[in-house]
Amino acid sequence: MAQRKKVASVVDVGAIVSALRDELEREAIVKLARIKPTQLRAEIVEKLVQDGFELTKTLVRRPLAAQLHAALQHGALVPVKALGSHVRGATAPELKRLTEAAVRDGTARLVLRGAVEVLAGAEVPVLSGPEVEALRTSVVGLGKALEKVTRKRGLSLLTTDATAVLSDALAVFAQHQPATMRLAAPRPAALSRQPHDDAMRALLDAVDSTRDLRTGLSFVPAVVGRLAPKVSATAAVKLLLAAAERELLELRPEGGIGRLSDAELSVCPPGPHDTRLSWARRLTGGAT
Amino acid sequence: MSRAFLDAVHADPWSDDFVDLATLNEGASDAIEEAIAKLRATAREEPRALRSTSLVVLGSPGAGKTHLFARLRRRIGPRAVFVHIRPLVHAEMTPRFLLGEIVSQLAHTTQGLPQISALVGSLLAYLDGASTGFPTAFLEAYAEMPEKSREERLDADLERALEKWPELDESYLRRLLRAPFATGATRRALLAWLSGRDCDVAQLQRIGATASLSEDIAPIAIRTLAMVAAPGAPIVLVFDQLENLVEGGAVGSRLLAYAHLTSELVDTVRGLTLVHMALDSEWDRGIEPTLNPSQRSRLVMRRETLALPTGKEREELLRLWCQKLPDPAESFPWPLGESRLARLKTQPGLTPRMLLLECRRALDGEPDVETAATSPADQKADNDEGLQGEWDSCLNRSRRVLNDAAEQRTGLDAARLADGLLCAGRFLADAEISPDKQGRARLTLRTGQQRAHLAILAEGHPKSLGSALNKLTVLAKDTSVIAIRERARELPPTWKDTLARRRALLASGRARWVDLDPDDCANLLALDELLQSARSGDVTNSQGEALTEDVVVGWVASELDVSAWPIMKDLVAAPAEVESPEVEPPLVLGPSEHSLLTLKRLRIASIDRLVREVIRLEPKATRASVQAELEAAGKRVGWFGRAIVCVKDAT
Repeated sequence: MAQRKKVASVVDVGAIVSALRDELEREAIVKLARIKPTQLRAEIVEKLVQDGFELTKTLVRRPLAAQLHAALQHGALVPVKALGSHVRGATAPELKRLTEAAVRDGTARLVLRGAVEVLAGAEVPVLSGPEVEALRTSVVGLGKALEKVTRKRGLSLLTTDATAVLSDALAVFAQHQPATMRLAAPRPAALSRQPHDDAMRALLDAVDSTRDLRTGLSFVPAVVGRLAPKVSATAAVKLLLAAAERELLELRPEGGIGRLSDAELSVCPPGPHDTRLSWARRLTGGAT
Repeated sequence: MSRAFLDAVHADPWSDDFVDLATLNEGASDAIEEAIAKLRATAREEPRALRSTSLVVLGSPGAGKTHLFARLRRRIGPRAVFVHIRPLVHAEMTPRFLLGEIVSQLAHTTQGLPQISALVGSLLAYLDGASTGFPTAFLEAYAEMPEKSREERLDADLERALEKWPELDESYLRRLLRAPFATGATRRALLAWLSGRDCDVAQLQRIGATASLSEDIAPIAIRTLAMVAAPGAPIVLVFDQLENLVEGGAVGSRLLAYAHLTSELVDTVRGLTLVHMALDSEWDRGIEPTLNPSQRSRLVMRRETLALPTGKEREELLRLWCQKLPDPAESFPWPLGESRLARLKTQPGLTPRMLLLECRRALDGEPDVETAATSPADQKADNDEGLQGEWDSCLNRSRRVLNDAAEQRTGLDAARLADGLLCAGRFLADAEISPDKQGRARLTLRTGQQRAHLAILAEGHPKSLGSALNKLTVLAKDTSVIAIRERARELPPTWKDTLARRRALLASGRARWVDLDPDDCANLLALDELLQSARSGDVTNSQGEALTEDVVVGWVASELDVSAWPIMKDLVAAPAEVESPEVEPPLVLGPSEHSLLTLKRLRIASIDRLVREVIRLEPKATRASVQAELEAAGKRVGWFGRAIVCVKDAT
């Protein structure tokens, strides 16, 4: 005890803690063995822990969640397997738990790039479950067709068919484009009336995912089809009308010349003056 | 303003008196205005870099596409020349048709100034290095000059223009520059020549031309017009109701011809702004998929989809209309009422046209019933009333066109007449009229196993008409021919050579001559317009509900009795010749003695009187048959002008 008091009288503990704090901010870890003088190590570590740093058996580290957050800032993508080099001082099980918790809490997103699983920040746009499904549905047929075409010499695809599939696929991405590139960015007035219920959100997702990039319009039967089977056609029509009344989207009367089949007509809400509302458009501030 | 604007459910592209909510679809108006401004700036600053531009504007029926045209015309006014073109329903669009539409609409006025004056005035100002913003002032300065000085000045301007744009057509530009200063018959002749119509001898003499514009000059003329207009008042070609190009879901020749023509315009003409307007779903499903990538990239440089009015915009629109009502009983929301206004602000799918109709209903005191169930009988009565009104309007408009043509001493557009005949042909039970794919005549008529070529002879010059008759005479060696010409443009007796050619054609035994009465012309043009509007969802019943094309066609079939129209009876009644060389067909207009005998008795008479006298003796005789007899009589008959005839050889 006397020794410790003697050391404390000649060493500025505050300065050491401050220096270690800087090092931790910079390097993320400090080994316990490097904290000198040994007599004051416990006191110094205690102060660092009080500052929010984490203590393990061998080192002091910046909190793992903070390290992960810093690693994923500014749109950085970190392969899960390389996470250890970005989040220092963690064991493999700790990293696994950290990843799971971050994805669960929504502070990070786990995505597949090529064959590699990668972590991304929460602000990085990624496809939702329904969007993944929509995209898969769009391109799987094209993939199969392309395989068949490449197997048989002289066989090809109609440009219009391929364009239609790709246009469908692109519609899924449309909502994730940067604001300047986006075809339909919700305008402030509409944002203030964002739906609170899941059904309405699902409807708007379906409208977005079926949107034709060229026109900015979504075909109502396609929207209803996208919502099925979770939402019945009747419920989907009610949702569409409710969304239109709230000016979240615009329902437009069919102008086609007998182009709707009976099945399509049955899911288009009746409009004024004996019309059928067959097209929906998210209310936008930009040009379509 | 009267309540007339409420009754005019369909926008009039040339109306100056209309109500506009400027914020509604402002983006689309701005896009077109920007394109025009950019084109004008390029034409002035980098003439070599000048190209044409093309935009697509899509919307639901009644969303305001045609209104957008009227708005732009009012907003931009004489700083651009606006041309509104509805495609032909059955025939293909050609450069000549396009040129005719452009020049005929140069006569329309915008803000009190004829478009041709705006075009030429701003061009002269540009060539003089002055501001193009005051074309009238420039034109007035020229108009005040003595004629000789003005001619010299215009010649100098022509030289300057040719130095700037060597590829221009000199003779076309020379006459274009003189058109705003010409008056009366000379102005009419100049416009007829510039539009590519066939001019008569007198018209050609007036303007110092030796021949009308030939078909192959039409693209060069369009190029010349577009280029000289670009620095001052660029030409904006607005193709409206393009859904009419879709033929039963199939890729038709009209759509391909349109795509080819407009792509060519983008490629080869500098300084045009093309705006393509169509129903959104028809464009996306019926038109755009048929364009090849190269055509698509030329036509769809930018796309604007018209929005429906939001709740706030609906209220503003209704307020504007209600404020324009004469003698309002109360303040807004009269005559709508609060509850009706609340419904109209929130009901999904309401277009501006529907709102206008709701406003009209409210003013007429009809209760606010959103979905009133009507019995089939009531529905039919509403449809019939609405369709009769639409038909009467179409008929009035076509009669105006006829009167204008009569005043201008020109014929009707042959392409429009052919389109009308094709429309009318849909309602013939035992006959079919279709475009002539081989291009030997304009149309073909098929009745059972028999087939005849239909030629519409709109030529105004005896030589060009004679040439057309020669071609038909050659055609008549192989097949039956029916030559159709407006009765109002009868062949004058002084056209002896042309009359001889007609006789030669009729003597072939396989040809018939059919005169088209003014009433027939009016009916054909009106039917063309009605069916065109039906395809675009623009025909409504008395309640303002849009009627489908099937309903309109059904009404025409049951009410208009198209097959009983004189022209249709003439075409079908006397059967076309069987295509068999063994059968010698009789002459339809063979000579008889009635006309000559009557003329001998009268010695000298007007044609009108002679026709009356002959019909008294021979009820089956017609004016055409009398005239044919007189023509066949040759030197035995003498003529004084076109209307008086006498006996020369009484033996």
